[in-house]
Amino acid sequence: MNSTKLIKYNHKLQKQLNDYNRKKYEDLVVNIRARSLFLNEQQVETTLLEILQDLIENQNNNRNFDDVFGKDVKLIADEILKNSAKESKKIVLSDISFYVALFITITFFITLSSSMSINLLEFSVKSLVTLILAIVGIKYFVDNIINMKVYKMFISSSLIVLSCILVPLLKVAKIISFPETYNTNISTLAIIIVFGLFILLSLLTKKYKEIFSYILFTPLTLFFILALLFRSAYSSSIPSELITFCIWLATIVTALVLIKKEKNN
Amino acid sequence: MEVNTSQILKGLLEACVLNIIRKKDMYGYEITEQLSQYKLTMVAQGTIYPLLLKLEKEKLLESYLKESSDGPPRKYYKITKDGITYIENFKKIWNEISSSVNRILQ
Repeated sequence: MNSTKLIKYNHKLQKQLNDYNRKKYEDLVVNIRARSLFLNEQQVETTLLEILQDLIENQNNNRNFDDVFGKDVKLIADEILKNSAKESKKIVLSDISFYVALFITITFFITLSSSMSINLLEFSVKSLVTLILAIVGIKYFVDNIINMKVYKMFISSSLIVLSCILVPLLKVAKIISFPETYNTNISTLAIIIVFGLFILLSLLTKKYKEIFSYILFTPLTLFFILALLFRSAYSSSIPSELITFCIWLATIVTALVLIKKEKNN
Repeated sequence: MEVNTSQILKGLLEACVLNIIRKKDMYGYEITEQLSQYKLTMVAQGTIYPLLLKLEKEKLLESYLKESSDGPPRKYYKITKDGITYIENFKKIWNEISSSVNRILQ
């Protein structure tokens, strides 16, 4: 049974829990899913469903979540994660390619028509597109924080938000002229801004403090690596758009090939 | 010093779970029910899931999904050949240890 089907079952069954158990179970689910990036997704989802089914049975026998798991949700999540099987390297690689492709697609799209002279029409179109992408990204992020479909969605949505907000922001501030010269300024400034946002968010929502750190870790790392990659690539004489396009194409192809291979197995 | 029951119990619990499943394929809740029938109630039920994952990883157990008439399929556990060998060895060692310990503690 694939993960999507397991998650659908999970979502449906959660309705049978009472308010207290549901709240605690959701905590456990968010905690586990957000941290299972490199673990076998199918096994993790099977375990989550298994726990839910048993919890319902316990609830029917007048035992609540605390009677079954104790008070410490994090401890039980740690133990489950520690004992779960790792994801196959192919899938991890295809996931990473997917994020890279996503990031490049969005930033490339946003900055495609960018020129140094300010054109009102061009500026409005670009702002509109950015705004729409940002709203979609944020909405996805908020909608899925409790009952998100897969961790992949989590990361891609934060990537969308990251690239939609950060890149145009930096462009407006004239700090970068991405993609022409992708210099170290953006990577340092990006990290400062994102960490600032992250700290703010964690202060506002204490509950999800830890989760946020996991979600932002991957996009941030990617962002940093890409910034360095672009910087070294752009110092050569090859046209920058060509480099971006080649990287984009390569990652898309890698992702597709790996996913296809995995499905055949 | 306080006795850390969870440390002592971990290895023993694994053996108990293996031996319980050996008799019949079961799902998580059934296993914890069996354990509490034997008065092993100091074990928090939640600890069973990491333990089952660990035994599965070590190939002492295997699992399969069994369709059920009401709702989604359930995950059942089944002992493997390695699991049976392990439990037989464990019993021998445990008998030696427990009789010695009992004599000392008496």
